[in-house]
Amino acid sequence: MITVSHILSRLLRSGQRRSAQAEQSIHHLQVQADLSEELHVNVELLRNIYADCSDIIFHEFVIGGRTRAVLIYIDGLINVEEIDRHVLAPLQRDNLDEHSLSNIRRTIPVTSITTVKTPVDAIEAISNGRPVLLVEKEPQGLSFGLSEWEKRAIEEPTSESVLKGPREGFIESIRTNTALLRRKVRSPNLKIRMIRKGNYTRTSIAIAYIDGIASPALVEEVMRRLQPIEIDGILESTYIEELIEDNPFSLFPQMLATERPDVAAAYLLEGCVVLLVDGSPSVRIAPITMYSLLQSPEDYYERYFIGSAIRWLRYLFFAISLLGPSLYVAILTFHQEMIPTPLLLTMARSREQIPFPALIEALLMETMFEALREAGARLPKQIGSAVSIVGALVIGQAAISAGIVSSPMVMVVAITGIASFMSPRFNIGITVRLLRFPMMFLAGFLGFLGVILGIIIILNHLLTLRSFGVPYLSPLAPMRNRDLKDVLIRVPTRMKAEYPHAPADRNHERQSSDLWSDSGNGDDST
Amino acid sequence: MTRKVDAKLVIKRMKLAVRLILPVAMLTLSGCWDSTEVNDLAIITAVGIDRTEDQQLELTVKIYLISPSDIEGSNGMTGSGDTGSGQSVIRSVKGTSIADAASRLQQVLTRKVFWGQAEVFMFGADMARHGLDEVMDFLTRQPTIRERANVFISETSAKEVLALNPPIERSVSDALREMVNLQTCSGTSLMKLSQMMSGKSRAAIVPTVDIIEADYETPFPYISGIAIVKNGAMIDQIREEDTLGIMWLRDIIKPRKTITLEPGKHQYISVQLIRGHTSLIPSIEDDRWKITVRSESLVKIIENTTDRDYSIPDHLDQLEAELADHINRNINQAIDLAQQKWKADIYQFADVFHRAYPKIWARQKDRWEELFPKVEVKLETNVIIRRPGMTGKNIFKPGQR
Repeated sequence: MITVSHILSRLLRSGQRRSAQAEQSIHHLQVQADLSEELHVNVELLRNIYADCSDIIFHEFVIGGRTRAVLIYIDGLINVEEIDRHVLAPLQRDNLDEHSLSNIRRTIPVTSITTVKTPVDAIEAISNGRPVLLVEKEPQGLSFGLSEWEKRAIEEPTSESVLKGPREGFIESIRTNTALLRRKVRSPNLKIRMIRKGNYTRTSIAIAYIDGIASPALVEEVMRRLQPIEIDGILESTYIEELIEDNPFSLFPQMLATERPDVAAAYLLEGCVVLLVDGSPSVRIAPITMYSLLQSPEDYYERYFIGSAIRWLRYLFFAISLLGPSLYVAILTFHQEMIPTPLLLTMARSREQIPFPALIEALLMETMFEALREAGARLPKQIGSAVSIVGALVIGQAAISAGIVSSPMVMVVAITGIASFMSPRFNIGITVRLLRFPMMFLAGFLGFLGVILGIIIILNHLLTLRSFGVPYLSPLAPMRNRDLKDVLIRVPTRMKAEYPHAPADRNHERQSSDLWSDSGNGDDST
Repeated sequence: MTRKVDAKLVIKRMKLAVRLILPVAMLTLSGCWDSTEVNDLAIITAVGIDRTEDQQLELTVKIYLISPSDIEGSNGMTGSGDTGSGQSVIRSVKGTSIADAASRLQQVLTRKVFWGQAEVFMFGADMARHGLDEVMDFLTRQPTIRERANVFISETSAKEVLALNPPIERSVSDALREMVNLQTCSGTSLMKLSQMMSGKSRAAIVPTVDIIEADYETPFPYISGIAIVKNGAMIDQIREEDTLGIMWLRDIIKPRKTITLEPGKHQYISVQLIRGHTSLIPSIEDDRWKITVRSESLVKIIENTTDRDYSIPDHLDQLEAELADHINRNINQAIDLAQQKWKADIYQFADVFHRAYPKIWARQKDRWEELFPKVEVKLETNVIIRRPGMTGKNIFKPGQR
């Protein structure tokens, strides 16, 4: 004899902590492991499990005027029209001799019909929006793939907009997202494994990779890390990311988040694994290096000169966003001899009336800037612009004329702010913005010595960091000449002929090598 | 059992606490050590050093004035700059030595003395004649003093030059620095001077500065010539017009230098240097020390009031020869001055010989003083006219067609 609580605990895969609670509330219910032949027993069992669930519909009807049946579904997750037309209508006017499940199956014109053998199966199907049909005298049921629910249309992801290139973005439905991937990579080698995690949310997680490019060891490692996850709910892919990344205490993201199918497809083609989580438009890509966080898809959609130039601009401003205010503070308080005289005199004059030391001044403005950014991001768009006007004009200008901060400091903070927004991935931008504060303290206390110390500490951390076994700073450290061509510059597509992360025993060619070597011979008469 | 775990946990936590507290304490306990806000600095832009009649040193500094409130209090010690255009003030202190004077400087200033931006070091002529060696030790020992600062010797007292407020530039140090940059010969930096003074030849050249007072609303400084420093003291100075040979030999000639020849009576031809380069090639044969001065110059014609037509190659060749001759005369003159009059190796021949013949040099270096006047100099001067100009002959001259 198995109690409902056992079924539930199997469903929830929870530990003793949770099943004890469940046992108390419904332990009086007793059911069998498989569905019973008695329809009313099954219905009673399910009704008890779904007690107080107002959105569960038990639709009772009679097949062909003889056999009683029940259709169970969650209101709002199914296409009612299709159910009426393709399930209920054929069954009710049916003229079969025998109402066995196989006969019913043949009658119903729906592509996806699966057999449900146990209450657990039934609950799983119902939860996913598949209506379940239970028939009198049958110890099994049928579930139909007629789920349909409201979802957002595919639109351009606002956090990763590009000027050129595809404008579609992932949405909250995982099926749509896998379809978007499949539309980019049509080969059957695109594998999409599916698992469910989350004791209560039962969230689908898809692991996509291209068989033949991605290293099997990598795929196994991702699966191995996903397997032991025990968590109540997964509401966003960050939940998964935090649970499986190499160093959960690092400030630096070790997986790439994107809402763009083209970015995901590009990484798939480089041998990465893409994790899609149901309910989140943002997918995660692993393994990555630091440089992938500083690359924008547009680098590859523009001509390569422009792509390379912008990439360098981004590297430069990445450094500025980390070091800008700390260098300014260090120069102003420790190393006044290092800047040209006219510049120093201008700076000195601007600081003449300022009551605070440069460090306090910098901290004040940087904190203010972060507050403005956060306030602007959380508010609705119309008010957000008001906040930025107040922030930029009122606070910036007024602080200068009130003599609280100097104008070069406002400039430094503004440039640093712009620089931090230049990183194409939000999560690396915010990391750098956070690191700026300890750097400022180091600069204020120890000058350039402190700045160098800070850089060494950060570099040390980055050198130990790995993303699914790939060193975070590769291919620069450790040096891999072959892969450098996509880091320092964006090489022309015709020269980009090898996979960056591919293991040694695989085919490295990404395109026909003839394309490049024969182009000068002129022997192709076509 | 649980107690054991707890003890381990406590130790672990304490270790973590130490790890967190240590860096914070290390940072904050050092307490902005050595830090100075830029608005607490007295930024010295120029330094002048004079010798007073009572054999003391007088240190004058020009301080860039950041706060206008400083002008009022500036009349206390010594004269201040002109308050009308005054963005800078000067302060003077006397001391038995330069270090003594420098330490007294802080007493008359409310802000921390900051030497790091001093770009001009001006020595008074009296002081230069007496000897620069003591001062140079102080200036090169301090890590905060800029080695790239320009050094000058003023014909009047250094204080007078520093007190000037040239109308165009922000301060006198800016004016002198810009002048040196745009002049036809390079200036002498503190580092170069210390190298020349302490090197094998122990002779150096330093630009001199004088003040033009007549005919202008405000007096201003200008670079008047070159001072010859031998064994740490100034021994002579020559006017700017006579420095051409020295500039060639020191290889510090700059583009824009103009050479004017007078081939006929009141007929002038002027050329301007595009590029000039001199190399010194030493040779020692049977105890005869020789230097070959090989100079190359590219010039353009900028004025022609003669009857010649410089679209004709023959005329160009002729002019090239004349120019070479002119340069040779200047160089010979400069060599005679150095070898016979000053007996000072201001062209650093010693370094050239040392580099090429280190073994012979090691044996003979004590005799350099007597060897130098006997060094034979051979000239190889090559002038190329690169741009004869847009016109050949002077087409405006009456009688020309």
